[in-house]
Amino acid sequence: MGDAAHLLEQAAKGDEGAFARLYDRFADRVFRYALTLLRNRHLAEEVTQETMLAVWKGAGSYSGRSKVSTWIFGIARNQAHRLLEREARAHRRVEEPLFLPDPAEAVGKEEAVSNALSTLPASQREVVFLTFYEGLSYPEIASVLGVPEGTVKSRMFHARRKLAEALR
Amino acid sequence: MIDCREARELIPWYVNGTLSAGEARELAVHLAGCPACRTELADAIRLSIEVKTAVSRLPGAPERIREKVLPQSEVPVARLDLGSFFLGLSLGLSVKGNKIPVQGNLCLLGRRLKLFETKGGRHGRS
Repeated sequence: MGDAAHLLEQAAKGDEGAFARLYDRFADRVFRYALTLLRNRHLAEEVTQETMLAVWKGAGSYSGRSKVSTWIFGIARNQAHRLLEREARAHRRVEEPLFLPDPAEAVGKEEAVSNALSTLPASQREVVFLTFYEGLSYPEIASVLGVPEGTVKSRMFHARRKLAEALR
Repeated sequence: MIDCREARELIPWYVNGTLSAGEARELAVHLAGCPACRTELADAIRLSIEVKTAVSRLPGAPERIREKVLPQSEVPVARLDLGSFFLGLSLGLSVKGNKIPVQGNLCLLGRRLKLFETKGGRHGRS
C-alpha cells in the first residue's frame, strides 16, 4: 500500500489526479463498508461522500503511522457513527433489507450469507467485513474501531458462532 | 504453547494471512496436533470465501458521488485573441464542473499575463 501513501502525499500537495486515483481505489470499498455497517443505501452514499471529501481535505494530516486503508476506514467509521447518532435523534429507522445489484444473479449461498450477516449486530458485522473482505489484521481493526484487540477477537468469535448457526 | 480457545480466536487472521510470524507459527503447531481446530480452520476458510463473494456482489459507490467529490478539471471551450504576437488581448471561456469561468489576459511579446479571472458561479441545479 506504499503506492496509496504516495498518492495521499501527492493529494496533500493539491494533486487532483492523485486524489482521483485514490478515489477510484477506495470509494467502492468505503461504500461497501458503510453498506455493511449501516444496511442503508442513502446513508452509505452520504458516508462515502463525506469520507472521501475528508480524505481530500485532510490528506496532509495523515501521519503514516498506519496503512492508508486503516486511516480511511477509521474516517468512514466516524462518519457512519455520526450519521447513526443523527438518525437516532430524529427517531428514524436506519437498517433496511440489503439488496443485491441484480436479484436474478444472486445465487442461493450468497443470499444466505448476506442474510446471515444481517442477523449480526453492526459491531460484529464490521469485524467480519474488515477481516475477510478487507484483509486487515486484528490490531489494524482495533485501531479502526478504537477498541482493544481482545474486543475484536471476541466480536469475531461470537460472529462466527452466530454465522455458523444461521448457515447450518 | 497456545490452547484451543486462543487458537480459535486467531484462526480468522491466520486465514487472511495477517498474523505475526510468531503467532502463525504457534497456531500451526497447535493445528498440527488438534483435529477439532483444523475443522474450525476449514470452516473459517469457507466463511472467508463466502463473505468475500457476497460482499463483492454489493453495488459500488454510485457515479454521482464521484461527481460531487472529485475536483473538476477545467476544459477550455472558446478563446478570442485580439492584437498581435507583440501586444494583444485574449479572452478565454472554459467549463469547470458546473461553473463557467472567464479569463482575460494581456499578451506581451508572446508572454501571457493574467488580467482577471471570474469563478463562473453556479450553472444549473446545485
